[in-house]
Amino acid sequence: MSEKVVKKGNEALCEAALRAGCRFFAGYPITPQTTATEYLSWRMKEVGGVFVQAESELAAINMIAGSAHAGCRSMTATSGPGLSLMTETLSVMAGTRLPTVIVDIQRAGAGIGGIQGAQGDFYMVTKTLGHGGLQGLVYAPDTIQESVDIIYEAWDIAEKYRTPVFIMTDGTMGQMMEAVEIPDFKDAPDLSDQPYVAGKRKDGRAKRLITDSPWFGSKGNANDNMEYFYAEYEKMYESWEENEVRYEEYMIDEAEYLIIAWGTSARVAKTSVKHLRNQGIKVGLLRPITLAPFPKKQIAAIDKNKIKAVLTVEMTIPSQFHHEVTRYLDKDIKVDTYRRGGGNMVLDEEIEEAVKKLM
Amino acid sequence: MESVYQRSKALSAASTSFCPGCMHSTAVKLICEVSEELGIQDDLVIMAPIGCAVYLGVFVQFDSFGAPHGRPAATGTGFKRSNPDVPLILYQGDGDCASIGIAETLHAANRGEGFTVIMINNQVYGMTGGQAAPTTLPGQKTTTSQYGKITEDMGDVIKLAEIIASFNAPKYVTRQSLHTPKNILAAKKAIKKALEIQINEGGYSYVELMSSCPTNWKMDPKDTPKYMEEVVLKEFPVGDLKG
Repeated sequence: MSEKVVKKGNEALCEAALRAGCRFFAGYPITPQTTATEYLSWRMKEVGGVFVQAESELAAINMIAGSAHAGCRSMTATSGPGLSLMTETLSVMAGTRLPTVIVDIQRAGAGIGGIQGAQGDFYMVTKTLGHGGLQGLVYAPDTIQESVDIIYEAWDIAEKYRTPVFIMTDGTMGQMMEAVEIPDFKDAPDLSDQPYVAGKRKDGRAKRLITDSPWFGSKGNANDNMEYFYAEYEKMYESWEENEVRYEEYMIDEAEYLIIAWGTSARVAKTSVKHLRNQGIKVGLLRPITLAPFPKKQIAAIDKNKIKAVLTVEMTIPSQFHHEVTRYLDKDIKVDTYRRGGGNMVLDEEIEEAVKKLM
Repeated sequence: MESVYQRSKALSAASTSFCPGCMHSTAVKLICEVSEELGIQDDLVIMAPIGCAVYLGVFVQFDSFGAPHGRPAATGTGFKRSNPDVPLILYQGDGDCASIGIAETLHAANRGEGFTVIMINNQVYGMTGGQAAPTTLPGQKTTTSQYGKITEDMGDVIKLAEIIASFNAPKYVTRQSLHTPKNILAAKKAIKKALEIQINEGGYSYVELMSSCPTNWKMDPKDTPKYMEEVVLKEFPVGDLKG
């Protein structure tokens, strides 16, 4: 049975991961991710899974890769500095086509930065996983409930495409508490017949030669095989744009102004939309739920005859998401951005002022 | 006629990519033979390193997977914890295990992860063309220590087996060599013991195998055993350190 509880964002996400069949977690403590690691340190054992407090994020990400090679649903959670350390293995996972789940609970700034919530990992996670230009699927919930719902199906999607799946929240969403419906436990599938899973070779099956780079195939040498398979991966990424794009349209009926934002920024912007609508200003919100694939077509389809201006909102400076939106937005539509950096929260009243400035 | 010796069935038909005279091929052969003797040739999983043995999975008939340079001990941790019944070997070089991956190696050993590390110590980075490693001997010439390794500059020799043997958790830690038939037989016994421990009682085992790199040592293969006996093994003595 599902249950309705009031839970911290990080803990609700982790509990839903267990309900989804995740039985291996490795993580290294980093604010604002620590409550996730602490929660799973005891809770994972209760459900018969494995928790490892890794010696570093380098080790953590490789541990979950190893668990995936054993056919287990595995995950890690981290924040910016830890994610930087993980990038080499993210690249490896994208190359191996290894289904894993990585939760990025974002904090502010580059380097050490700050520990408050922010959205500065957008480019890093959505553009390419580490070196080499390969990609993963990236989800960005704006409520704890949505993060629970997404992680509950994250491995199903990861296994369908054989790809790492990212869930991007932030320090704000990780620490806040909200009423949330946690789904029932479901069984993980038997993955022992998957080509990326190593194990005992029963019934004389052939050995599996699992490599992170597709050197082996019918195309002659290693270079030609890599070229061929990477082009196949590209087709898969393109198919995601057709089949996996998710977004929310919020109060867009008869909208003349549109806010485009994701995650916590979008959550705050919803308050602004309500306030502005109460003032008779026809504004709506478009919120990408998948950041990769990005809702390019939906943004390109915004009609200049209906929408007078667009405001992007994000919690990072220099702009990232804003530039991604303007790549696809009709150039005839007036556009501006409101953002806060340094770990500062975007404020509903400041969003409202920014919309009014566009009028 | 009685057959007294044959090529291990755990070796694939493919020839290895190792240089002539390199002792990697001996190490791989020993692992294959031991797997047959223990009856685990269909069960054993082996991790291929970044290094000269990167194509290891081609040469053997085991399931194999890899890890980024230095990370096998972490990847192996995740695999073995999720599938404890599968015997697992981490086949690593000295650069992988003792330099870029020393943190993962030591923490996995200290946790007593239930796999066997086979570390090939040839005192250089072989695949990248013979640069100095943490195992390079003082005064040894490499492509990054062209006048001889200066320990004040590059650090002294890291003796990984001795460090690992200082931990409580490892069940078996040994250093063996592949430079004479007698040593090869002892190395084979060590690999067998390590796997028996892993299978029968569980726990961590580490087998360091002293090896040659005639290509990067710029030495005739037939001269390498003498050099190893007279110079290398003085710095890296063979024998069991724990268990």
